[in-house]
Amino acid sequence: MSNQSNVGMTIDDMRAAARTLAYPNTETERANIKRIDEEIFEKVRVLENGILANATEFITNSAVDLTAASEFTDAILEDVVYALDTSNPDVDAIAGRYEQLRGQAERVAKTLERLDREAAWHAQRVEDPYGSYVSLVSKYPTLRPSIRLQ
Amino acid sequence: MATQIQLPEFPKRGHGTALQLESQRKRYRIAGDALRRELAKAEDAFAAVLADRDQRDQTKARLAAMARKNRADNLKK
Repeated sequence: MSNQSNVGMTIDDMRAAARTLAYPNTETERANIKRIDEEIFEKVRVLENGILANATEFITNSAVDLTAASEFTDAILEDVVYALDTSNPDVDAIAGRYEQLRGQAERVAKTLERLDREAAWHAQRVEDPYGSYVSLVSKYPTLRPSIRLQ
Repeated sequence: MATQIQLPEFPKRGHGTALQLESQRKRYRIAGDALRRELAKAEDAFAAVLADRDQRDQTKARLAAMARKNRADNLKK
């Protein structure tokens, strides 16, 4: 078997090239194709581990914002809406409380919109770690795995 | 062409995490909608109370004006 250069190849090119090389027998061919796939998959697996860890951390950290949203929703309902719906509401005091709640509640609502966008980004990476790895090595070619084709 | 060869897919493991993220996205949207709905409800409640207060003030003013006029009319008699 001859050594073949993989300079400038994408990881898909490398895997495809392994399938088009000449081999002395089927067993050698299967073993080489398996080795190259596994070497590349191992690299993707490392990135996937990081992607999953980041996504899990993101989910855990966002719990506090969901709790805050729920607390603000309840507070606005109880301290403002229900308080105004009484026979003689102290409108000035309720307005003061509402101003306190409104500014922070709007910030929480914006945070939830941002979290929705971030969750979509994490989900896209979780669904396609291989694609993320392809993008990574395409952007930073020096990170491209050095894999012996034969 | 080498690139036209069908390559086995990477066996990804994140299906459960992807489902969790999708569920989180729903929770963010539901929580955000609920918050904005309560803010709008509060604005409406204020508007209703202030409108009611204005109406009461106007009624009071009208009644006071009528009382003044009646007193003035009675004094003339």
